[in-house]
Amino acid sequence: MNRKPGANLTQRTNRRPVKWIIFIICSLLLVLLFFTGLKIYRIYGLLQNVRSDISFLENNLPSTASVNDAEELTKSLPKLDKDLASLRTEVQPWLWLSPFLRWVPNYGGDLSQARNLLELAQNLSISAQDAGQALEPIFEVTSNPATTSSVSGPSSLINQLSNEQTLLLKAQSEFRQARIVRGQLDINVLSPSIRNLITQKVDPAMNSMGDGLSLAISFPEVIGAGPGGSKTYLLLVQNEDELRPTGGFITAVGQLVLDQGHLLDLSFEDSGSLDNWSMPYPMAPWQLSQYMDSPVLILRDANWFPDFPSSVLYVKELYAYTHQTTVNGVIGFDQQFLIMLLQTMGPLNVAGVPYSITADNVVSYMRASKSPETGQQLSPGGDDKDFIRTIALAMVQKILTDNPSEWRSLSQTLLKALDERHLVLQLDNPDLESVLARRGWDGALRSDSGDFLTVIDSNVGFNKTNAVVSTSLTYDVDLTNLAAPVSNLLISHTNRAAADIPCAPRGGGVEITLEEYYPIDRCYWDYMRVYTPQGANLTSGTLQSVPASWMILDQAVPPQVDLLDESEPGLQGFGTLLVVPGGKTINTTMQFALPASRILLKDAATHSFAYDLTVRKQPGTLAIPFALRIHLPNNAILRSASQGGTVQGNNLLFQMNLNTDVNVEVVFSSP
Amino acid sequence: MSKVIRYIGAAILLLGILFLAGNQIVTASNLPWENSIVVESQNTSAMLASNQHKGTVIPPPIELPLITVPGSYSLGGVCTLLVAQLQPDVTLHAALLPLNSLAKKPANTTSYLAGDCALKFQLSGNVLHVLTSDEGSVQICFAQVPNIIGQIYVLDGRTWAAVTTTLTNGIECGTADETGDYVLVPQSY
Repeated sequence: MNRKPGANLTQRTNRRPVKWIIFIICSLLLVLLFFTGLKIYRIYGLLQNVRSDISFLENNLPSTASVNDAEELTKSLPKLDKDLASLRTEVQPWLWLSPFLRWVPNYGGDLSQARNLLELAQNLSISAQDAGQALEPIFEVTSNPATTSSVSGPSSLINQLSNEQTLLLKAQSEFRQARIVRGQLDINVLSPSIRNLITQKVDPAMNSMGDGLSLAISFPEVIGAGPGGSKTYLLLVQNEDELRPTGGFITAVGQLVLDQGHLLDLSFEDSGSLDNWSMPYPMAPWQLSQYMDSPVLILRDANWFPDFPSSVLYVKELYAYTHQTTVNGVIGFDQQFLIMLLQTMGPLNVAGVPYSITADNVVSYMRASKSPETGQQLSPGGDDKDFIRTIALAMVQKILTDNPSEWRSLSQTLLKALDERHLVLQLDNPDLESVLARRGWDGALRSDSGDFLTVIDSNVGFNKTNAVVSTSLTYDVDLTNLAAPVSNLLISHTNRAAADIPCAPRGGGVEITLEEYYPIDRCYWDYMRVYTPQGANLTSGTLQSVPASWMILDQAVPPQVDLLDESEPGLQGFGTLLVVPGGKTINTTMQFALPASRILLKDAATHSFAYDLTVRKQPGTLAIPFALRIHLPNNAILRSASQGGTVQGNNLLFQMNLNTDVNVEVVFSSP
Repeated sequence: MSKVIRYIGAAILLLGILFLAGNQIVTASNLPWENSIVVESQNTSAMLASNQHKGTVIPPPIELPLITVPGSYSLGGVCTLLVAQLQPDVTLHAALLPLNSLAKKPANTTSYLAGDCALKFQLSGNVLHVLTSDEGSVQICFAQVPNIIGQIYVLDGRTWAAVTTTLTNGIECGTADETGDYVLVPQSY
């Protein structure tokens, strides 16, 4: 084999630059790798810092935030903010790459959302810090009343909130930005741990934070210390012994005027004195007309509508017939609310009452106050409302007293009363309206998804018999045929009044000693409404037939269900009349064909179904026992269920008390 | 002697009252306009009889004494008549009738919000189908149903006609210058 001299030499000289190029590239790659590693190491370290900050917050983030918790949390925020800022500085030059990293195993989803996640965290952190700074003096004084703080009483609290409006508005603006970013976040691509963190911790915390900011910003305005000047609120005193849809019969209407956080006026009038017959009245709902012989709707019946905002519209319109006052909101409460307040504030000394009014005796005191003292005259139905003012005044004075240690317990009581609907609010303040709606404190009746149930009782018997009536609900949901789910509702009403009381309308002339002014020992006339999701059809039921002699217009009521046309969004209402004699239990059942497309959410990817039920509590009721039985399809595999349920074969059982609204979610897969 | 005169005077007064009342009894059967009985003054007992409710809500009577002078009059608590002026020989008879007494609803209407407030104008005993501004000025008002804008209609016996309706502070009012049945219905667009 001949070789050309110099051929190897040429090849060698040609290879040398290639080697060098490869060497340089490799070196550069190594350097790049080193720096990338270094960068990743630093980012990892910063991520660990942020993670530990978030873990701290996560562990300290309670399900129901209190003022003290908020203080603790805000103290830890500067560190999180600092760590986030460092992380952001570190990753900023590379963030543009994040959308292209979706392919990375395990963390690709998180990386692809890195920009949004960072922005969300930073906006929230800044917002919380600003809010914390503005509210710091309030946190100090509520956590330790002995602390020397600029906030020492209601006036200084208002001043603090008014002075810090700029900072609070800045916090709100940052928070709104966070909401926008949260809306852009694709939650489905995130890793399970981050997704859980967002949905189970961050989202609820954001709701609380948003509501808290709106409350802090609006509070001065609401109590008459804002630019709008003094505020007037109507107080609806509702008596749940005569249960009505929004809490009870409107026994009195009060007017509360606040100016600069001070009580300017507090007065109450008997609801029976608030009619002005020179004005035209709306026609009464047909049930009031037929079962109570009321031709028109007057103020004391204006809460006939289970949706509190709807009732408020009538209340305001009819109150204006006798008062030329601009009303800025309506506050409805029942007797139980007074009990709750007294449990928190302790006994009250009421002028003219020889003993202290406590949570234990307030109801009996109020019932007794509705009867005339010996030798005095009081017409039946014409209650003396002085006692309500006396109690309310004593309470408001106690609330407005500069006693910071009571704020915390009082605020918790108010929140509990709102959650349990012993207190319902309507405020003419757009910011707060949305807060009230989100938390269900506005008493609205609405539902746009999932299964829904509420039972609304209305006493149409001119008596206070609800004091001895107990109710229980059993709801049986059959999902064995996923295309056609059905349900069965059993409502039991037991009247513990004396068994020998005749069911004569309005007492029928039968006088019961000591009961002429406050008739409890009577039959229970109830117009009961049941609300289900729109699209639910009533298929059958067990209903009562009411004889003519029991009805005020001497007209028998056949066993019937009325299809209600009350235009409640997303809901269908059914109504029926029942009369429960003393010592008896009446069971009413209704069977429904439920709209599958609404009550069952199908996840095609996992072949699973989610059944979600909301049971709304009626205002004015205490803790109605509620049993839920869900029949899953044969061979269904239960994936998850709300706490408190027990599994029996293919059935899930829940036993609870409706002291608040209840939500039950069950996820299962079906082959 | 003076005591005897006082007793005789009282007896004459009592008899006089009974005599007047006896001539002015209004019964439910007098209500349709076709019946030409002229009611000249209020008979309380008759009105109460026609408006007895067994419940606790007791609105004003559903039939008013003949209106002859300006003033504000409530008809069963459902509609209010604001009479600004009436010629001396013009009278207004007003009664609240059941809504199901109306044979048909205004066009494009499926439900009533309030009514039926039946008004009859008369001039010297003859029915006035239309009240001129010289003869009188009357407004009829209904309560607004929250969140629903109402429209007043009048049925002159044969056809429904829309009455220009104004809404002020929750009260829907319109001019009542025709004899007929006045109702409030949801406004249609």
